[in-house]
Amino acid sequence: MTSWPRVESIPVGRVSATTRRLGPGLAAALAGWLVTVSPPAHAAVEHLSVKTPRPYGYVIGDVIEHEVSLALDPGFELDRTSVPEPGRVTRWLSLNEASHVGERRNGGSRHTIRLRFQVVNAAQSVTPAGTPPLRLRVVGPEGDFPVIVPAWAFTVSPILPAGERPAGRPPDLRPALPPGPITTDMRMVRVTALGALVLGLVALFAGRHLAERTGRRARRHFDRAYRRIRHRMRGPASSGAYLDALVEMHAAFNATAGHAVFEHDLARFFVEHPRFEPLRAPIAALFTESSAIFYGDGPTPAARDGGLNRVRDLCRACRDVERSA
Amino acid sequence: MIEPGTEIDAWRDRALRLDASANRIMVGQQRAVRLLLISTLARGHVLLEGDVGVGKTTLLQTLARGIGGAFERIEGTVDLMPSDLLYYTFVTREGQPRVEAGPLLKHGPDLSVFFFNEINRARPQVHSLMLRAMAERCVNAFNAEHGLPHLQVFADRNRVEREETFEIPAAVRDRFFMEITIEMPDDPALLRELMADTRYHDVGALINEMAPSTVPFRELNEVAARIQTSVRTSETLLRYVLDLCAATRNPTAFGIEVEGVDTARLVQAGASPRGMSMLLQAARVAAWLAGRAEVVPEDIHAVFEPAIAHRIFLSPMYEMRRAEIVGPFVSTILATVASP
Repeated sequence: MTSWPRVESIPVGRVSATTRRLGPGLAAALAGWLVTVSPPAHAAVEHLSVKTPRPYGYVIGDVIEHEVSLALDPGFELDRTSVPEPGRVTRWLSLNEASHVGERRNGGSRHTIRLRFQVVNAAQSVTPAGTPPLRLRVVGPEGDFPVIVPAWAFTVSPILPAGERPAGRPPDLRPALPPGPITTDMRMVRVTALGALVLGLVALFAGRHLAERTGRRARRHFDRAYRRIRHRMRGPASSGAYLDALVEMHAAFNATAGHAVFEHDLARFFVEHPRFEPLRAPIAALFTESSAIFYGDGPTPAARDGGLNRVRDLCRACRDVERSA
Repeated sequence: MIEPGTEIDAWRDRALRLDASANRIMVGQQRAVRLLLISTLARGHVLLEGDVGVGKTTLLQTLARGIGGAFERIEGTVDLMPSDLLYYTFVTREGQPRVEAGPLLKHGPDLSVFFFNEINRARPQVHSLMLRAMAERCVNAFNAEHGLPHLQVFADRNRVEREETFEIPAAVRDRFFMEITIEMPDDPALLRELMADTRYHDVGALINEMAPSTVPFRELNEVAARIQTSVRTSETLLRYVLDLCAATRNPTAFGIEVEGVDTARLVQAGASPRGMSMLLQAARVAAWLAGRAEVVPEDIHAVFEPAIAHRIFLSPMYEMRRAEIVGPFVSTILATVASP
């Protein structure tokens, strides 16, 4: 509803050089606006103007913004406490926001005060209303004096004409728009549903197949251990290769069981994975051997002779059991 | 293997005899008896956990008879003062005031088993005195220092009531070698035997079935030191123990998960260096009792929960649920951390 801006310059003392002439239509409305200042203040106020929107056609809820510009000579300052505080100001208006920005210029100062009013009352008919005069205070070397921005007149209108609604006139509150029509062409519906079903089934089977392949591969712990042991055996023979092979085997047992497997609870492993039962004796021997090597006196003579080959063979046997699952 | 026929091997036979005798008296408590024996052979103080009437005192008196030396017992109360442990005063028939040594000093250096019942009912100043007696095996009284070289403290905590109790400070809890749970046997046949067999009615006679001084207490300190030096620990095993203890401090780094618990926020402090050392001491004794000259993961598993669980300090939001959380937490650590 606002139509910005229109600048109304208010002549104050010698500011006539920077003040525009008021339009003839608005001159009458602003007739009572002229700032009345005592003679010493005229010399101090270089410029005073107000930007106002249109002065008619406001309804309840509308926002009206004023921008007051004030230029003061050197030695004079605006008393910032004279800028009004937000609050209800008239029957029609509430001042929601009042801000002030000041800057130095050519030894003097320029001030911009923005006032944001809101129409808070509903009119029954087009009713004259107005902002109250803005009383600013300027402090100078010889004391302070007021600078008054005069009241601004406007009209408040009703949203709807008062009285009963004329016959045949549509209701003021219209119902929400009804939803748009949806397609009732069953052929299209069937084709779309079938396409979605086929796509879904393809995605489902592909996903399951991929998951199974990935899962099978991920579950082949002895397969992976066997490949690593064989790879290690291609290098130069060392006791490290034997220890690495044992560690690979332990890792495969742990991964297969889903928890750490130790020699003393090996029986639990066979209960949880009975398919390894035929390999119980060599697996138990492997754990005993590993325990002696990692925690005890080291490998027995039997382990030193062909221990790595034996671990590889057991790993291959475990891999075969794993694949048969 | 430990060399047969050596002095340390003979000591092992005695210890196993004591273990067997105690199990004949305390039926259905094999694990608790073995852990108590391990603590005794490692010269560690023990926190006891268990309901009323499960036989804690009987077990301790049996142990005290088995190792010889004096047994003393005191009840923790809210008005107990440190001086009550050191001396008591009374007026003689002749009307003369007298001061006599209290339970800690009454037997001098012969005190071998001191049972502090409901230690958390006593005030912190009493905990302080016990802290010194446990750590340094001596106390100051009557302007002199009194040595208690063979003292082993067993303390029971009241876990039911919270009014007028003073939770044992972390520093004191950490000084206890183990926390051993004594549970009621769940075998119906054993319960029936405990109820019906008149042999269990006279506790004094029952305890007398233990051969006195099977493992003489005066030699325990030396034997304990020799056990520790005679059992080896490999680099792989030490790495395993370090990993286990690190998992108690930073469980998420080891992928430890407990149902219904945010393990990233669970632990305030895990196993301390003292706790790690005590864990290894206990495992060495367990290995020695099993006839091994080296510690294997089985020995660590046997003592990990009683040696470490009471040193794990939980965040306040989980502390009230300690009883239901710590057991699964420790089990998950043992099941997750692998070796080699």
